[in-house]
Amino acid sequence: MVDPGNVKGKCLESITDNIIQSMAHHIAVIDQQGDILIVNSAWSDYTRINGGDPEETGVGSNYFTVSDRETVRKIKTVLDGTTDRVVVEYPCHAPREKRWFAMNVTPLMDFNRNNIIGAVITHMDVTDRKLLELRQQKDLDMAKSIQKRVVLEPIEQENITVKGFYLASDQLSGDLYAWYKISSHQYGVILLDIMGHGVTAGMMSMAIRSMLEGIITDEIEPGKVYLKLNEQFHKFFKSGRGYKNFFCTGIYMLIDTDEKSISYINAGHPGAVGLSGNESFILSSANPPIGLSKEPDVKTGKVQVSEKTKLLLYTDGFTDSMNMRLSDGESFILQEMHLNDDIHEHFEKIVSDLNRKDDIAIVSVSFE
Amino acid sequence: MFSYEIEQESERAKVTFEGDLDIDCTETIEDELIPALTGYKSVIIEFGAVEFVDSSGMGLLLNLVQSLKDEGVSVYIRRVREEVMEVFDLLQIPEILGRHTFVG
Repeated sequence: MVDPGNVKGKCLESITDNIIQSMAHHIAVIDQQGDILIVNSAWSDYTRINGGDPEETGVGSNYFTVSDRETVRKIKTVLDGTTDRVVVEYPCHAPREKRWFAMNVTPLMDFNRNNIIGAVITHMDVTDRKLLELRQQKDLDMAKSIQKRVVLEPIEQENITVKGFYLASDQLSGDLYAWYKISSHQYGVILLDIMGHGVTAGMMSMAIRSMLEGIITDEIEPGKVYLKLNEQFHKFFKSGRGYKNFFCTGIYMLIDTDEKSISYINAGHPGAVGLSGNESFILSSANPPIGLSKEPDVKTGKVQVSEKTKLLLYTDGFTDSMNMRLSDGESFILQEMHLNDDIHEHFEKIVSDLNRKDDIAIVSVSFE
Repeated sequence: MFSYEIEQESERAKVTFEGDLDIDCTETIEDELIPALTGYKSVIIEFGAVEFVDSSGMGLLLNLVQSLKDEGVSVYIRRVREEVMEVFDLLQIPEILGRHTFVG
């Protein structure tokens, strides 16, 4: 007499086998010892096409003996239940073709789904994705090197030093700084933080960078520089979906070494921290970010200094990466400024040691 | 991870935000929330469970509020955390959206 349960079981077994055999990925099932129990035809074909011996990786052979030690270790973490899944990407280049595969290992449970009795190993051809990633990486590396090339040399003169330092959270930075000698005793220094980060912010920062020298050397005064930048933002960057509220924060200072003054404008940017002798000051924001308001009221400030003066400008990535609120960040920076006369070296080290969430840029200025 | 929940009461809607507001919320805000909230007379955005807003998130919030206002919807943002309000103030968001937009 035919057992209907047995017929159903055989039927399911046959369907399962057909599914495995029909899959394009290379599939093998191993037991706890690494012995291969099942392979599909894609697995066997691949071994044959690549001149391998199907005996070595076919049913009855041991997968651990043909795998490197690290791969075996990873497979065993699935077999002993330490991990639910292991994915390993590896190159598998043919003489005339570059190829990459991803090995995916998942546990094979017993009938009651209580115990791990083996593992299912799948190899997928990921060459197309890998090639795309490599091309993108190459493009990003090139863009990054272009962005680095447009960073200005520091100003290191007898009476004034201006230096900058940035670290990008992605390949490209949306933070941007520049400085220009306007006359024998006037220097324009600017730090901008473009909204967002990554490729878009990096591209925007390069576009803005190309305008800066003209704007700063023509307009000179902080209020005029801000208005001109704001105008350019509205003109060039604010059309199209997603760009309606595109903006950047920034701080621009006009330093006059004869007058011993700092005229500045801060547009939604964290306050620059200054120390002149023992007197400290903050160049706080009093204006909306560049690009957010069509006709902003302009509020500029001016600080008169008498002694040797140090200033640190920074983007909010600095305080965010330290999990500090803006006000706490100002106190921290001021406290640190007292510790080392070379504030640039001091803060560059602090920034380099941080676990960054966002782009970080700092600009340090010292003048007599 | 950002999420939101809309509670509606006739012509008014209350939308509760939770999580960080950043660039990952772009589709959620632009493709889901703006169309979903357009048509109400007034919208209250509960902001108390938002701990962090980056510059992209700030742009999205401005876009949301301004798009709704352009459609004649009154928008109010409620219970902004102190540390988030510090950033809003730095960027003069209350001046841009109107001080009355921010309530309790």
